[in-house]
Amino acid sequence: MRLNSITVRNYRIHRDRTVQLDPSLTLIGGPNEAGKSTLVEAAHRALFLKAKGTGEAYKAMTSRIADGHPEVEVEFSAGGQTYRIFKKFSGNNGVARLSVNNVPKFQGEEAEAELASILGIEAVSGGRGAGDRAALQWAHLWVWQGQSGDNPAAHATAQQELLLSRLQYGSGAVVLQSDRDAQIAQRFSDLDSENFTARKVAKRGSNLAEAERILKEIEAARTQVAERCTSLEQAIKDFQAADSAHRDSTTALNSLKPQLAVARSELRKAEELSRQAESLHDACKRAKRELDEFVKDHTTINDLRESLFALQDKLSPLTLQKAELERAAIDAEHEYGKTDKAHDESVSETAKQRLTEELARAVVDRFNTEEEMTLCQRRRNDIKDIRDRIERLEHDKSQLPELSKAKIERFRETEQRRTAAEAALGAMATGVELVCTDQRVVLAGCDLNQGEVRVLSEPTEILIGTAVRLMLRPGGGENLANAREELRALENDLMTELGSLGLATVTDAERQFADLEKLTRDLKADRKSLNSLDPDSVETRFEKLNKQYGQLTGQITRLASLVESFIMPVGQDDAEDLWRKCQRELDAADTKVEITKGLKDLARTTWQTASTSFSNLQSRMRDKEEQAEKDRIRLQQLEATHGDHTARTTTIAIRKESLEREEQSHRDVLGKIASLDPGGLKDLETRLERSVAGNDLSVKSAEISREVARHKLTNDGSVDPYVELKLADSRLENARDRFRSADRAARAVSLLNALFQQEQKSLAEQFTQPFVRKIGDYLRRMFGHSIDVRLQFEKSEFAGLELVRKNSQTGAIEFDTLSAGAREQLAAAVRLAMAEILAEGHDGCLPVIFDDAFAYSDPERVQSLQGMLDLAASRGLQVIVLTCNPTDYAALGAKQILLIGSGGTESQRARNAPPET
Amino acid sequence: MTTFIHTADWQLGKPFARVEDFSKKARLQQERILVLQRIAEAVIEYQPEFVLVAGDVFDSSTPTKHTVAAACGAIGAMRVPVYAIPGNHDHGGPGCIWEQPFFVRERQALAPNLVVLTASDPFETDQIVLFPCPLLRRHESADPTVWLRLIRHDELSRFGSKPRVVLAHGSVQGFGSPVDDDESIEGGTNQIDLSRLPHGVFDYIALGDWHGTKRITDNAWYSGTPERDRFPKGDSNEPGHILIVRTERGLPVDVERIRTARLNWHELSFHFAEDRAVEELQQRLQEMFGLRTNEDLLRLDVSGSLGLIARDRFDELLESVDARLLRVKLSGEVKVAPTSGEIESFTMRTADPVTSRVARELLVLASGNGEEADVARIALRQLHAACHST
Repeated sequence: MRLNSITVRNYRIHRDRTVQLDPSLTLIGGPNEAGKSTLVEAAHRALFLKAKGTGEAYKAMTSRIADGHPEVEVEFSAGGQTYRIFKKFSGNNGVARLSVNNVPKFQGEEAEAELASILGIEAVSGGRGAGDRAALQWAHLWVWQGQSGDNPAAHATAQQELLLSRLQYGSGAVVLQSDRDAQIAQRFSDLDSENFTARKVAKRGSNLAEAERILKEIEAARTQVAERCTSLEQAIKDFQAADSAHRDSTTALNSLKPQLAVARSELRKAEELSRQAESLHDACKRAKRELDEFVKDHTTINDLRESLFALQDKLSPLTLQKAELERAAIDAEHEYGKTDKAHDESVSETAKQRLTEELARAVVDRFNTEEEMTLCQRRRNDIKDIRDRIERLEHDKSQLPELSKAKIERFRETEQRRTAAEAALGAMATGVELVCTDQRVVLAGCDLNQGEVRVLSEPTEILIGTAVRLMLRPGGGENLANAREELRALENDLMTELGSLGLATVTDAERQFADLEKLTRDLKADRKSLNSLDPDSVETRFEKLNKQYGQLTGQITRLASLVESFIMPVGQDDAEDLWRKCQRELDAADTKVEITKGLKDLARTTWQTASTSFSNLQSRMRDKEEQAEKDRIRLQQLEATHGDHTARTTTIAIRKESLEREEQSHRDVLGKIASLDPGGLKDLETRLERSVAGNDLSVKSAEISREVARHKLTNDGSVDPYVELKLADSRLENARDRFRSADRAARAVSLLNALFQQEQKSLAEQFTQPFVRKIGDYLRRMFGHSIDVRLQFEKSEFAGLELVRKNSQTGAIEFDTLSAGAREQLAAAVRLAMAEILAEGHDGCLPVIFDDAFAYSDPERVQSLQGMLDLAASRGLQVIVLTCNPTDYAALGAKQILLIGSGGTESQRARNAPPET
Repeated sequence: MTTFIHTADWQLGKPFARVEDFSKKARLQQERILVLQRIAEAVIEYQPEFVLVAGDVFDSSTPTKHTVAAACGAIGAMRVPVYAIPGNHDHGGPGCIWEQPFFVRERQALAPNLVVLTASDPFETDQIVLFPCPLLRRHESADPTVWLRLIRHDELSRFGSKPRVVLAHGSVQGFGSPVDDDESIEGGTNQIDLSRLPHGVFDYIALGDWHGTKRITDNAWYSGTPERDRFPKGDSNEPGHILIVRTERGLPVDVERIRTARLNWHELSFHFAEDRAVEELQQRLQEMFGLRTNEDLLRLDVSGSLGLIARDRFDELLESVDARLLRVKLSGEVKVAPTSGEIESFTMRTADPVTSRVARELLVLASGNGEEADVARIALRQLHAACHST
């Protein structure tokens, strides 16, 4: 089916307009409100809305600019025929006419029915919502403005039957699920979702969940009942155990108690004997202590007596020794007095000698100082002479001009240059000699005589005769004058400089400079001599010696007043002899002091030793004498209380005998105690007491346990726990059976659901593949090979339209999450693919109208879109594009129709021709 | 000549836990009390001097007041002394029912004729000497008759010519109460060795524990339970009786068996070799119970396999039988194996290709063993049902 032309009259903004459409590609351009959409809407109304009818849809068609009812005429080709449908929408008087190959054939309802049959639809009658209902017709081919981004899967679902039959035919797949298949599959799907949640957990309220809940409740109840039975069994065991324990403990007590009584009686006997033994033991200890003390005193008396005798033996030789030591000490004291006096005398003598020696040395020193002062004075005189000479030389030097070596060099140089200039002048001068003449020759105004020679150094005129005048120019020009000028300047310079120094010639200057240099050398030599004499230190030294001399004179005067009979020497040698003599005498006096001191020290040591020995002996003797006195007094006291030796010996013998008797009694009692074994008895008593107490406790505890168990076992007969347990077990088993059965039934449903889905999917995939392939073909024209598309047929509808970017990590992108641009592009591809498949039932062609369908696509993408539209055209579809921006579609190669005004003022141009404006 | 009734294993208060229907359970429990009335009727008819209960008057050692009162009421109605010993179910010992105050009260009020012998000592009456061997715990490892072996001859002489009757509860050489639905497995306890009892000393040994009526020796019998409480097991099991015993010191004993049971316990093994067998089973059951309701119990052991439709018919049959009988205990398994026709109708559904393919997958899964195959078989049945209801 292919649209050929559309004619509209009195239709909204169109007064009367006819548009011829291209069989393949038509581009209808024009600004907003130019009536593009209205035009294709009119064509759609003519094809799908009955002419006769009223309602909003009809009112909307009414012209705003002209009277008269809206009329639309559409010419189209189908099944090898050319049809022309004319409709006049005039309410209930609406007119419909259908011509076939330009021959009017049908009118009114017949025309409507025939048209619907050709288009394969049911015509929409007027009435409420007629416009919307009509719009749904061929909605998959007719992209209304603003709907280009809608998910096209819904359209595919709407056209499912036709689409599937085409796809089935095209794919060669003969299998397609039946209605019954679908019903059964749906039933198991519903049942499965009643049973399980999406996560495969039993759904609340389902049979399975209910069975599970009941099972859990019954399990919990069973546990409770079982616990009650276990508790009863335990109570029986507790009772039996307590009873047995009670019996055992009672038996044990019956045997233990008499054993304890016997043990206690024996223990009391042993305690009595212990007390006796303790008393005997104390008596023995006392007697023994008294005996020991008596024996000890007896021994002390004997010892004292012996020690007294020994002391007296030791004291008698010491008395003699004491007298000797006393005498020696007195002698030593006398000796010390003598040596001390001798020593004092020798010290006094030495002091005198030392003063004399000091005086002699001062005299010698003064002589030496005097000599040194004389030498020093001589050097001072030499220094004065040199200083006078230097003064003279400096005066001479000041009389000479100030010349330096550089100045002399300059003078010499100037002189040399002057001499050179003079020589040059000489060389330039021309000699003139009159060798012979017959005429008068006047040279420079003076006659030149034959043989006369003159030297010319300046231009000079020569007159020979009267007629000949020669001008001689020595040096060829001005050179001679320059040379002379230079010589004059040099001579002038030299004279000026020499004159300023008061000199006449350079030779004078050289001679004067030689004198100056000699004076300078002499001055330098004298100054060096002066420095070597070190005049400052000579002066200092002289002052120091002078001072020293004064001091020595003072010292000599002071010492001389102290030393008696000192004869002052007159010369230096005398003085030195005297000093040496004094030194010798001083040495001798010192030696004597040393000797007397040694003797004095020795005498003191001897005296101290003798004195110490004496006092030591004295104190030693005093201790012994005191000890002897004490011993004597003690001995007298002891003998007074203990009697004499015989009495003491008798007393000791009696006491020993008594002690032995007491000890024997003690041993006898101990023997009796040992035979009773009180330790063992005590242990036995403790053990038996512990045992009795333990058994008493066990009896009481067993009685309590027995009572507790008896109480637990007492039953009021309201329930039988064992029967309850049997019932609970049975209920549990039933519940398990039911759960197992519900579980299996639910799993069987799940299995069926899964199998149905699997089979449906596998079938659906078989025939959706060609559809998806075609969509892919269109998309590739836009996106190249980087894009794939997915579409699924599930549960009787097309769904899951997704874009897949190859080599991308993002995975598939659902249609609804794509950008608006990508949505309208993908939707267009799906519509074209769908149209292509459906076209097979319409002579291989169907029109696809895109009314401003790529509003969100950027110009670049619109360019690639054209490849897709072109592919559709090349596959036989009729593509009609409405746009405000026809220039964007310049590359489409479509027939362009530009709508400008509202009534027939459009321009048209054929495909591939430039647009007309 | 002394005449008495020997009975045992009344197990009053038995819960019949596996019977879920409350009224059926109550009916089964009530029947155990009603049988005591039939024993009371036997007392009137056979004029025994007393009744001996060889253990297990109650099903548990902690029966409820209600059970105790019913028991005492029924025992009181017997009018003659009733001597009982504790069995393994209602054993003596600490906390036992025989010491519970409410039992003591009810016994005094309703059954003063009841004497419970809880001590292993000779018990002498005007007519007879009883040698009770009571169980004082549920599982007694020692032979409760040991004390009988130790009685000295001179001790017995004081009983003169009174017949000497032993009362004991336990297993003798391979006979003992088998495990039933309500009990857990137990074994090796409560063993009685009759061969070690002194020869010629006792005139009759009244045994309890084995629920079938069974003669062990000429003078040693299990009376069995007077009303059945479990499905029969083995040929030598003939429960549902009491014994009328006539004895005289030193003479052979005369034992007469009297039927007291009312309920019918059946057992049937059935193999399904083909789908028609469902109808055969229906026929067999019809023959067994006719139109009776609420008086029979059935243990049905099944095997074999059935097609999908036949399996549904079997389930319907079972449902109906279960409603009519007091209990149906089903054991074994009937596998689902679709018939070739069913397989064809499933897999060759050209009009419903998806269903057909799913069915083929399921058939493969169901042909195996194990849990997965079981689930697949259930799924097959569900799919089958869905196909027939859609």
